[in-house]
Amino acid sequence: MSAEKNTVGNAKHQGAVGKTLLARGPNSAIMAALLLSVLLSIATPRFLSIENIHVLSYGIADLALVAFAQMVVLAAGGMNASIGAIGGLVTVAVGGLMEGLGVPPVLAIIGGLLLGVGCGVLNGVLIVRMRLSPFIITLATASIFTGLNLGLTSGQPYYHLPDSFRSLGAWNVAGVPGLLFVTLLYAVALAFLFRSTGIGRQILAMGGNSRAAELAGVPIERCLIVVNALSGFLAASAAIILTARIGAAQPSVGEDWLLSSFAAPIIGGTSLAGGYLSVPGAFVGALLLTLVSNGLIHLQIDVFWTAFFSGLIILAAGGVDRIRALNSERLDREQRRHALARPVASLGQGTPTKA
Amino acid sequence: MIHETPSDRTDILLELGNISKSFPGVQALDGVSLKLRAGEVQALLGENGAGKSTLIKIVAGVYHQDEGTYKLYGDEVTLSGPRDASSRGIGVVHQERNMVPTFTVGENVLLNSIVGRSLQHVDRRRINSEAQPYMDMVGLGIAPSHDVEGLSPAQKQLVEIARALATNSRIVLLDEPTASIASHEVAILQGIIRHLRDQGVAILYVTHKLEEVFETCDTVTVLRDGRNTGPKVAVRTTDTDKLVIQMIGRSQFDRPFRQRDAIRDKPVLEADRFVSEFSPFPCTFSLLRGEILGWYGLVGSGRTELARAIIGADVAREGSTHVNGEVARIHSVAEALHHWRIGYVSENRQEDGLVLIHSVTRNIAITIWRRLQRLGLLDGKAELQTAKHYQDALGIRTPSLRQEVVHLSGGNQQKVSVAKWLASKCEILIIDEPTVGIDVGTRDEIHSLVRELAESGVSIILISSDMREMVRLADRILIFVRGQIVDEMPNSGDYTSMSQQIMRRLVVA
Repeated sequence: MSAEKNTVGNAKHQGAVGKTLLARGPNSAIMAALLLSVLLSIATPRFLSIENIHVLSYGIADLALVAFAQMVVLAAGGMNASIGAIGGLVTVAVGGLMEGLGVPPVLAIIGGLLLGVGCGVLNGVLIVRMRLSPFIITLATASIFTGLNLGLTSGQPYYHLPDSFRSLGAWNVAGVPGLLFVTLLYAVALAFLFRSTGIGRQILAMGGNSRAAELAGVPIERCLIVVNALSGFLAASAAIILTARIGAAQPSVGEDWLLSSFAAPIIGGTSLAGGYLSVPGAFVGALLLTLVSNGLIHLQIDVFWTAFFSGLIILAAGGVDRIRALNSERLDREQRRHALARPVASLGQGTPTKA
Repeated sequence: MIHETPSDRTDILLELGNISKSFPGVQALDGVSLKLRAGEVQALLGENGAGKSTLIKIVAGVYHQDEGTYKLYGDEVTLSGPRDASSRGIGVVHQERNMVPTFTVGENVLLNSIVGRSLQHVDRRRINSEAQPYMDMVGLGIAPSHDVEGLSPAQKQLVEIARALATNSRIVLLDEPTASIASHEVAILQGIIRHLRDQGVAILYVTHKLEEVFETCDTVTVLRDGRNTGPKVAVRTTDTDKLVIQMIGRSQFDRPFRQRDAIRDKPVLEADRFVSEFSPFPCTFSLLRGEILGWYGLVGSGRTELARAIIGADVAREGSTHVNGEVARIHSVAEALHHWRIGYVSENRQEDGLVLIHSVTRNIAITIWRRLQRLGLLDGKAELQTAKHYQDALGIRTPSLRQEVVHLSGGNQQKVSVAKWLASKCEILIIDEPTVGIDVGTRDEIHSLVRELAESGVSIILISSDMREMVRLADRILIFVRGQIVDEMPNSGDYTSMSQQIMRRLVVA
């Protein structure tokens, strides 16, 4: 009807740039990443060197997976504070299997992935059974996973990983790290999962409004367990890729993941309130965070400032998110005014009581 | 008799003139006037949706009127908010409890003044001694240092009244103060009201219960469809019949549906002494095929709770349900939907019905993803076709099926809510308050839709607090009072006789 058309028309009247920036999704993150890249390449010629691009690609490969691990639970309306702890535990498990028990790398990798899924299932089952907030549950399990990790290894890394495993990290396809392709493959699979499968849709519906989803017959408990298992699987994948890249299994893996795991998806437009995610957005968010730390090195600013700038970026992303929400509320109010205009008009014509 | 002389015009504390207020799709108040004198207890009567709560909220500064005048103590005022109203001597006891559960009784009684002095030291002993006199006034025999958790509903009600008194109110608004308390406690409340009246406090008393009007109030104002039904009258000059007729009025703008012969050959859903977590009284009823079974009652009479338990959203405790003669133990909504083909169109579309940030298509298809997928893979084309089919069938007005439902009007949101159950091919549909907050035109469309569904063989339980809707749509009506089914009556479709019959059953219960 005309009322709806009008409102949609109003949205179109905003400037093209403003509209692109405010559209839900990764647009603002992509622009920020482009802008930052241009600035850095002007500021320092080494930024665009082949070596540096190689370094960047490596960094994104695992950071994007960390971002995905948080993204899926955020979209389901929850969160996972144990992503880093799962990463650490999987790292030492894979390292221990290969170095300590001589398990072939392929089996060790499969074992690591299964461990990640198991940790995620544990999170999911606890959330379902104990009916506590995911934050409390995963804070507790994070401590349990980290405790297991450090208790079993006494904090000692495994340095002597098989060459075949380490060569994974050095694997290149046409000058691009092979592991980046693995991450891209994950990205495509995730986008497909949430766009075109029943379970993906159900998880998003649960994140958007769990009460409505439950009343519509969505199996909430199963969705919660599946999405937490997926989060654990992604965290394990990130840990294995990182281990292959470093060439050693360090128990400290994952300690610094918490901030970026939230920052990257949020920068990329994933809704903190749940119900919506953007895989490309989380990827670009991870890229942006990698650019910041990389740029700081090139600008010869102390790396300890990385956290400071990451914080600024999160605030900026949050600001865009807020403006987006306000914009949507404004559209809604206009919509309601139009909707209101209709019945009043029809009352005047049709009912003797209002005459 | 209410007769105005120049001398008593000065004791008018509150005077509202031609107050109008509209919400999206609803004209809640349309030129309502009201006068309240010092020492007067005035009842404000009306059906569900007549505009009583809106009026109370305007007086309390929660809403601001679109049109009309608001005079307080003789001067026209514009309230900036609830705190402004409170500081001007208006105390409100809302229908829903408003307490800080982790505070003590004393702190809750003095909540307004505690909140007011943010930087001052909060002296607990002083709070307790300051709260005590107000607690004495309402006859609360507990220590001010007691936690409010664990108080009975009636005690909580008294705490709220004490709070209204603690702001030294000259005007006290009571919105259905007896809704949650037992009858012997009502007597205490009435004593308090009389005491306040003798001190010159003006009281506006919102209620559904006519006997309370006769026991407690001096005058009565009746609202219907957001308008006064006439001037304020003295309680002793009226009676139950007159008030019921005033509250109901005549059905003025609903085209009645012709009476029909429902298929009604066999019961599809039967409940036998069914008891659940949130509906503690055994309920027995049966729903026939192709029938519209109306559940009428006041807001909060336990209809939604019963419906939720039947579809497995809440835990069933005792009794049994049969679907098509087969014993049905339903543990989850998914089971109700996929196995027993029972759907529930929730009362609160926005909170329980829709995923607002998702598209029209996704909201319609949510119930059938399970059916549309093969090896986990969704058939996007079939999904879109389904959505398109119901968009056309129900006349859902949206610029695109990809539009997020949050941007649709209330009526169109409701159609999307209904569409998802139609898509799931439900045989039994429980529809809870289908037209609350929906404009008159769309309301008519939704009524036709419900009728057509029933004609096509779907069995429908219609939960509605709207008398017109009930008489217009239902084949048979069950009356709910405080969680129990107290009566069953066939619907003649004649509004005047049916509504009076139903109202009498409610007010004497």
